[in-house]
Amino acid sequence: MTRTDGELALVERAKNGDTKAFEDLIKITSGKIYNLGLRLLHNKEDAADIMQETYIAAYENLPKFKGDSSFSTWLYRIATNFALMKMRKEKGRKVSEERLKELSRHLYDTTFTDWSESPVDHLKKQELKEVLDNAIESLPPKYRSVFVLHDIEGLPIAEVAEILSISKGAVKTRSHRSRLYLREKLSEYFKGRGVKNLMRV
Amino acid sequence: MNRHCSCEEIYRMLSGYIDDEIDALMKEMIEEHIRECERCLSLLHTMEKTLAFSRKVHRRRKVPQRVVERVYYEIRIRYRR
Repeated sequence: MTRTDGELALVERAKNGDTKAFEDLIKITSGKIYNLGLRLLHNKEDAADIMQETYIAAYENLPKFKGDSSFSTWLYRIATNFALMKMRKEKGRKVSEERLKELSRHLYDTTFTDWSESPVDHLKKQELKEVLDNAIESLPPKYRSVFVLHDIEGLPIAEVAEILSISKGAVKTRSHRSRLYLREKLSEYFKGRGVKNLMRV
Repeated sequence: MNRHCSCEEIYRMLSGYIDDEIDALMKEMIEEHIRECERCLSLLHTMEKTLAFSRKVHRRRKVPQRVVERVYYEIRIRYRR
């Protein structure tokens, strides 16, 4: 029996009122859902809230789950929707969509820092995490969700499209713009740290 | 077909290349270009490093048991049969 078959068997039992089967589903899938919340919202309390809201909504809507997608994909969709609602209420400043579009439209034309050889083990990992988290947080929610699902969770483009109910083309576009923006933010960081290999373009 | 990619084109197709979402011919053209263009090679490397760093600093964490227990508890008290 594959893992998905096992999940589906548990879903069927849970649909028939077996709460222990639902607890087993939580046990199997909670790592994914908690980490998704953590990666989207960067906060343990919010991640725990998202996880709770997700499983309560999943339990209530279990009769509607037809198995068209995997149970995990379905959970990801519910969790992402709750996280998007939280993200939209965030006060922090976001990079504008116009800036993201602009960044992907034209090749940078000022200075270019090649920091790819910087040894990550020698960097202050916490500092790097803060730079990245701040940059990810400044992405508009619809970009951040794509970046986290595709590039951090490692889900394929088709699954991200299914979770977010958008086209594969939209996933690719948002992913590319997010990556360019984050690359630029890291370039600024490394440049500030005096990384060599600065090339004039 | 023997067409050369411009730096602008590489810039736009970089994610497709990283995700292996482009056809073999395009992939070949990009690889030919980056063999000759130091700037686009660095662009590719820094983009790949951005993704590698993002994954590295967001390693999967274990769900605290109390968080799981709280969910079990909520489900039990709301839907007790």
